Amino acid sequence: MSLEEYQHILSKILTSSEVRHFFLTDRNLFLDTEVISAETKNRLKELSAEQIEEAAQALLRKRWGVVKELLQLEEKDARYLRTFYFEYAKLFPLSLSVFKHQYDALNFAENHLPKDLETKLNEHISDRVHMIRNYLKQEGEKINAKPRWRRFLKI
Amino acid sequence: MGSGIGYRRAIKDELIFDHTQIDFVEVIGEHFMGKAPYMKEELHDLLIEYTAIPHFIGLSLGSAEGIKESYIEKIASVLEVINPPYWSEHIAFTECHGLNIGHLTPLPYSQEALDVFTKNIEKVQSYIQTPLILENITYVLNDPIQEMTEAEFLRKLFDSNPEIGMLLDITNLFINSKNHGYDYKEWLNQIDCNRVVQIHYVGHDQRGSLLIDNHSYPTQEEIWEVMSYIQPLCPNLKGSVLERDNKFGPMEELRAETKRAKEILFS
Repeated sequence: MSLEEYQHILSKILTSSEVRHFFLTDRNLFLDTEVISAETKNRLKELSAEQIEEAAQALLRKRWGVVKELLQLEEKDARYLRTFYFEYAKLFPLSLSVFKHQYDALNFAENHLPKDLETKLNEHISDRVHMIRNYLKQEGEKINAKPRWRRFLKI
Repeated sequence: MGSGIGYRRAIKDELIFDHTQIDFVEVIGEHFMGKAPYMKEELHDLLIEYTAIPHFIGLSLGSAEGIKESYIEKIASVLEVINPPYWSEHIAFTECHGLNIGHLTPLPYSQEALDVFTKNIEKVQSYIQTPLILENITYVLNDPIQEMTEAEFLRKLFDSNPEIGMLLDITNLFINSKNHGYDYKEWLNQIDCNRVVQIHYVGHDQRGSLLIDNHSYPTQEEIWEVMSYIQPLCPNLKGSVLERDNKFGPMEELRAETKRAKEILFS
């Protein structure tokens, strides 16, 4: 087995719901599209579907925990926005930046919130977005640049 | 070191103004990697009050593609400011080929993974002289073709490098033992407990039949039992850290936990 091959495929499966769905629907077809050794294929074929799903959900919960904290959401608002965040996060993996969670929070808050958000919550989130942007500016980040994670969406 | 707690911004004021039952703090190293002046001030304020142990989560020591020198340099600069007796990372990988998984992911317990991990640690040690301790993680995903058990993997890993210590997370150990059906005492028999320098503990959650490591609950009695069990096994233990991330509740309850840990481990 090549550990690098195994880690590469596993990373894709755990972070993208589309890749995961393809893998879990037809592992043979999925693995045939990957240029990897027979030994790595065998190892990946044997992974438990239930454990993959649980691990992927655990990753989303961890991400949401950080974003919730960055946006300083109250419990009831967090409960309301959780579903929207999970829908967004299934498609948008984290970037490699040290500030990946700040970028994650910004992308969700600026592009993936429900349209009918109540005014008070909308204002609160706008304030938090402003603070996160200021923080990133202080860190010297070029936050207007196109988000770097977009290129990872290709299967 | 004694009995410490994980520093989180939500409990900053309580920690700065009152040291009761807290001997030291553990800080997430990545939080202080940035350049923002207020972060430097925050760290400075903490260091006036406490010894801080940096705990890192993003080096990805298990990555087969190797680790980034730029990341090691950032860690080194945080260590230079803090000047701790040791620092910690995880036995896991977090990224591969430009994808950040966002969480600590287990390695397959294979000779190849062991070789990769050993090589990556040696690279880190060539840059950073401060002693490194490594933490066991929780995992959901089981490697289907285990060449060795997790305990065997750890035993070999620590045997291969006499300079590294172990950060034994007893909650992670308990969770894994329940979720994967093994006896934690047997697991402890298989590793070299002399290498344990620090422990982590916190309460766990439950989702269906799985125990979950979400750092959000008071430490349960079963975890205190594990703590009592490991105390005589770990003669080189220097510190314990209560690792709460959420739902902090009254600070008195956290202090009661650090007090209890001190009584079990260091009295």
